[in-house]
Amino acid sequence: MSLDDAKGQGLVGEQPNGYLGVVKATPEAVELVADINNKRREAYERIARENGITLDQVATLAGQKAIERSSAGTYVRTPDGQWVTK
Amino acid sequence: RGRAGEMTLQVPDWQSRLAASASLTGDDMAGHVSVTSPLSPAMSDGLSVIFRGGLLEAQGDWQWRDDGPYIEGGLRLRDLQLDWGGITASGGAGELAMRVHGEQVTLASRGPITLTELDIGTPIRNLRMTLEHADLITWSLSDIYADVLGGYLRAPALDWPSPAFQPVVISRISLDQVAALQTDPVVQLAGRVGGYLPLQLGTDSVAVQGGRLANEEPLALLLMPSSSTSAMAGANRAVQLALDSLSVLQISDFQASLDMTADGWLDAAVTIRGENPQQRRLPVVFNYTHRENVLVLLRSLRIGDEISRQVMDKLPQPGR
Amino acid sequence: CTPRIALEAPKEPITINLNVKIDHEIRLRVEKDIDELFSDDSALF
Repeated sequence: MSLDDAKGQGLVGEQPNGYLGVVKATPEAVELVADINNKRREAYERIARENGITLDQVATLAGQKAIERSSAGTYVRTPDGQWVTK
Repeated sequence: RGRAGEMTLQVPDWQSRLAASASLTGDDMAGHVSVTSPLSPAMSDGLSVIFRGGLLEAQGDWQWRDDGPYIEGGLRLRDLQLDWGGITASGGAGELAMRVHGEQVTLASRGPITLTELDIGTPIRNLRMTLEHADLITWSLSDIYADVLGGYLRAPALDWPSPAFQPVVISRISLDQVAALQTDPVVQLAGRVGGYLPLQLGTDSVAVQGGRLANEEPLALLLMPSSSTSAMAGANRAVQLALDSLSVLQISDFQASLDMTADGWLDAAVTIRGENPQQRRLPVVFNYTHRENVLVLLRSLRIGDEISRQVMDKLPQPGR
Repeated sequence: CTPRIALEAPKEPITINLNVKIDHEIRLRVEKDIDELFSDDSALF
């Protein structure tokens, strides 16, 4: 299952901390989220190292952008933890 | 005749405590209320501010009238510490008189409100001001003072928010601290400048229009060998000559005009008259304009601060 | 007579104009790097 399908079916959504979140914990969704988040962490580490800032700063900035760019109707998480559709 | 009651309320995870008493005489209901509460991150959820510390004590007499509650009381704040989007404040203290008449809330300070340090990317220390009047929409302050960049800032009165440009006097600002704000330093400066900055205080923005600065004593400028200047020098002879004449400058006259938009874009125009002691006291007139987004600068300094804090605290650096 | 070299300070001041515009590096570079992560082939977002 692709990330776009998972988002389209409301199984996963973007979070302010820059990592993908599970909305409905189907086995496929959980596995997809784990895989994607590992790849994102590696990418954030590279960017943090190259720019001399911390991993959290990169992840938070990426989270803001991910939520901004989420298409309407997909799930995004609010700072106080609720899943809402954009 | 009349009945009276006591009530105390505790909010455990905030460790706050409220005690209220009420007595009913005829159809008038009145009493006393007091609140003591530490200010903690737990109570900051959903707020744009995170309380890192502090103690709030409030008490007052209340009366229930047909047009709503009447409260006359006071508020005391000590050791306030907070974080507002990366801007940190510490050592906040003050006493306020509070009056609630139905919808109308008014506050005024009893004596000055103080803040030991406000770090916006560069530290502002020993802030002091008196709150003349506030109705939760506009705050009228007086006798404002703060230490900044080796000098100080002072204003007789400021309203916030206000569209007006209200003058603030700055003096004894030490240019070496200003030069230290450069993310990759090109010039070293020494000496004190002062002047005035008409400030427009928006709800969450500051603008400057027609700010003027001048030297308060002879200044010195030293051009630092850096990648950018040597690259420029290599470009052509005239630039090399200019850089040589600017290499060391004893400045007798420094005039600057400053404007900054609410979104942080600073435009400064500086005219410097001085002599280069290394070039047989060559007289130099240096016209310099500088355009930079101060909000982004201060934010990158705060990110910088955070890195240095991590290095100092020896936190494990990811990926290094 | 022997030539006399007078070492007086030059009268005419040299005038230098310098205009500097500073664009902040860190945030812009980081945002650019992050934007690259959103490109289609990364399938990370």
